[in-house]
Amino acid sequence: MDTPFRVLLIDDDADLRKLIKLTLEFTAGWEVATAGDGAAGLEEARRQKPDVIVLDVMMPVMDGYEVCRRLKQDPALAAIPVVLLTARKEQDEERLRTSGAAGVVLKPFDPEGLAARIRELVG
Amino acid sequence: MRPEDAFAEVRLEFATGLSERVRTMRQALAVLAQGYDQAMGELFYLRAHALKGTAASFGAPELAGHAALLADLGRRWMERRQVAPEESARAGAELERLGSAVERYQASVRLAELDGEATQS
Repeated sequence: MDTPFRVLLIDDDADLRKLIKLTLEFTAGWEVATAGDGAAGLEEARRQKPDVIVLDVMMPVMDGYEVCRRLKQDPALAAIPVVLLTARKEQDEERLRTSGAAGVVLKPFDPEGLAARIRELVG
Repeated sequence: MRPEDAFAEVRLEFATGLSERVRTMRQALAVLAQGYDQAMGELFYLRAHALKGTAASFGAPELAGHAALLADLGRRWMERRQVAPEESARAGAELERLGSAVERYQASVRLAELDGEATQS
């Protein structure tokens, strides 16, 4: 049996986490683990080594850029593609471009098209 | 659990939690109206910004529109570290409109929930 595609979703908004998790599980059949802040997300990433990390940019304490920077500095995690979720594309264009992420999904997004968009970004 | 039931449950949780989101923003605004406060400024902005993205993804564009306006005000306050009296009044009025939109959204979600229960029984 094929191993399911494994996603780690890091977002501080509990409602959005649940919506994305359900959507990816039901529409794409992916296995989705979640974390509610950057520190917990880094810990989960080290523990699980997921196939892709979907990471919210605007989070308190440690934002998505800092989480992404730490992921890319860790040799054990650097190769895992990161997809950033943001509603601030215009304001953050330079930071998004230099973040090391594989791509960006703009909020708001159509939950049903999310899996296809992530696949498109990470190849 | 059927997918549609799981999604309905998440939508109901989102709808129920909206009152708390609005309450938190009102409390933060009450502090900010007395003078800029870094922690409250960040809280107000982050809550409004999060609601903007989340509400639209839940198919609630009216809520997202109000939240976008509040997030924009909150971002400016954080940049300037200052809240002008007319801006806090504007935010208060926008929060009232958001509160009313939340009530309408909650009523529509409850109605959909009842419809779903009636269809199943």
